[in-house]
Amino acid sequence: MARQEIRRGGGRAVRVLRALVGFVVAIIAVDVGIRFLGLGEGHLPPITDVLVRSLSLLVQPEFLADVGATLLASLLGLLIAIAIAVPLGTLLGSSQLAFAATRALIEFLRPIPATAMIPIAILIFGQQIEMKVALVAFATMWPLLYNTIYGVHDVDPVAKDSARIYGYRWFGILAFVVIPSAAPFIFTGLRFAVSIALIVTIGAEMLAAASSGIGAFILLASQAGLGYVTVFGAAIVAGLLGWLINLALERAQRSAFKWTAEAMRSAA
Amino acid sequence: MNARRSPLLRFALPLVVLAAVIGAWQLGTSLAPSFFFPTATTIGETIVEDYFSGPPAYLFLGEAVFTQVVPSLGRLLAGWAIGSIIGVVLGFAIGLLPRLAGYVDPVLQFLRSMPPPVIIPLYLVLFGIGDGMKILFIATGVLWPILLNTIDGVRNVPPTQLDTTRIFRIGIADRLLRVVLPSAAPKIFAGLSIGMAIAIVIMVLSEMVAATNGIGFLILQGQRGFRLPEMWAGVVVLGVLGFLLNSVLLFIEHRVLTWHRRSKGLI
Repeated sequence: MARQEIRRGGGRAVRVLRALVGFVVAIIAVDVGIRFLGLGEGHLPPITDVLVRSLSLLVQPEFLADVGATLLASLLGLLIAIAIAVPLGTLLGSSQLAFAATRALIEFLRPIPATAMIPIAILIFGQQIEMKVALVAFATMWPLLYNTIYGVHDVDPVAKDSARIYGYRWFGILAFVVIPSAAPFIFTGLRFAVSIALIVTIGAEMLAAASSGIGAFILLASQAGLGYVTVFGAAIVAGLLGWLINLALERAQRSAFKWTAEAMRSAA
Repeated sequence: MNARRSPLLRFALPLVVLAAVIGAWQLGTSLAPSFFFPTATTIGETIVEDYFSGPPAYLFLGEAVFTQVVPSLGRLLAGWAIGSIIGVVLGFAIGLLPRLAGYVDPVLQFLRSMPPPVIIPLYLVLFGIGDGMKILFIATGVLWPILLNTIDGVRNVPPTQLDTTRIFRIGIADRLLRVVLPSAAPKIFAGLSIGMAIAIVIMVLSEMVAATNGIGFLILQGQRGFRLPEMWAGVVVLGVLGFLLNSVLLFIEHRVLTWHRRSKGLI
């Protein structure tokens, strides 16, 4: 570990500096490409204009309300999925019989792409937040359930037996052995679930012509002829948002599961 | 406790549960008929009619297989392959050059965080509404998990192995192909399989936004025309397709990585 730290090199300041250089070079390259080399054949606005628009969007209340709407729908859907998937997954993962019985069912349901459910959700739930929440809950259920089941199923039997010998009942074993040892897996599922939640929410907002949300804003901006500067400006804010969420989750994962380097590595 | 051994449990039980769930759907939808939820038999009949009622010369494959499934599958595999190749190559470069990584990593992390739907307008401008745009859109989504996993796998090659190749003056090509690649392979395969799941999600999305064929297009048309059985049939077909693709990938991984499991004492 120490060796890798050295190899990757540098303190925090150096890292930030390198990141900044990377961004500046990338932005200049794209800008030169658009302005002078005909990238996008004259349809693309210079990226510097887009970045300025992103900044001005960040203080525009209507846009912030749309960002809030997307985040709220994703969060509610995720919470519902967690509330169902983690207990259910723990149950299915701890019983050998239930594990064997439900495996095929889950293997068949899991690959159904979340986006395929968008039209069905629109029909049943309409175009508002209920539709988005239901969709996110359904879509994020599978990675969470799958990772919980496998995390719980793979708990070291020796650890469970040891706990039993020391007098723990099922609840103690669950709370002190099974859940901690499955937690890194569950968290990995959660990180995947979060990115799926954003894809589904924004995709649904675009397809349903929803009244609020980042997807609705982008759709409206492109239809109302507000120009690509606004459309791309909003896209960059969406990227920024996803980035911050990712960073926060990564940091949480790192500090919560310091004790298991393997879990951190399999989290990508 | 011997559930893992008993073939009855391993093969029969999951199928029984699957059949029970389909039966429950059938029972529920026929007892309480709903416009939104067609019965299992209606969905089944639609699948047979649309997908498996062709002439014997076409192996009984129906029209929808050729007009919808084949274009979808073509775009899916093309996008997945392009994304995978770029991801592995770029992953090798970044994983092996830690200096470069410092500059490039943050930019890539940002790009990765863009939810794919928001880049649709950009891709429409850059690549039009044809197959090329959809393939590149799929490739972009597939790229990230494969890239990150490859970087991770390449970085975690045991240092002793790298030092050994250096001591024996093994050339760079051999070092990459025979030491780094095999060592990173399990991680790369994990990325490929996540990439496949994402590819299907994005393929469907791209076909709903701008397409005149494909399973995603079919599902959206089913919804807009209130042809519910057609819509559900598309969803089931997508699920089966995803399952089959994942199984093929697992099979290949199993063959390729036999040595890996052996070395870890898992066989």
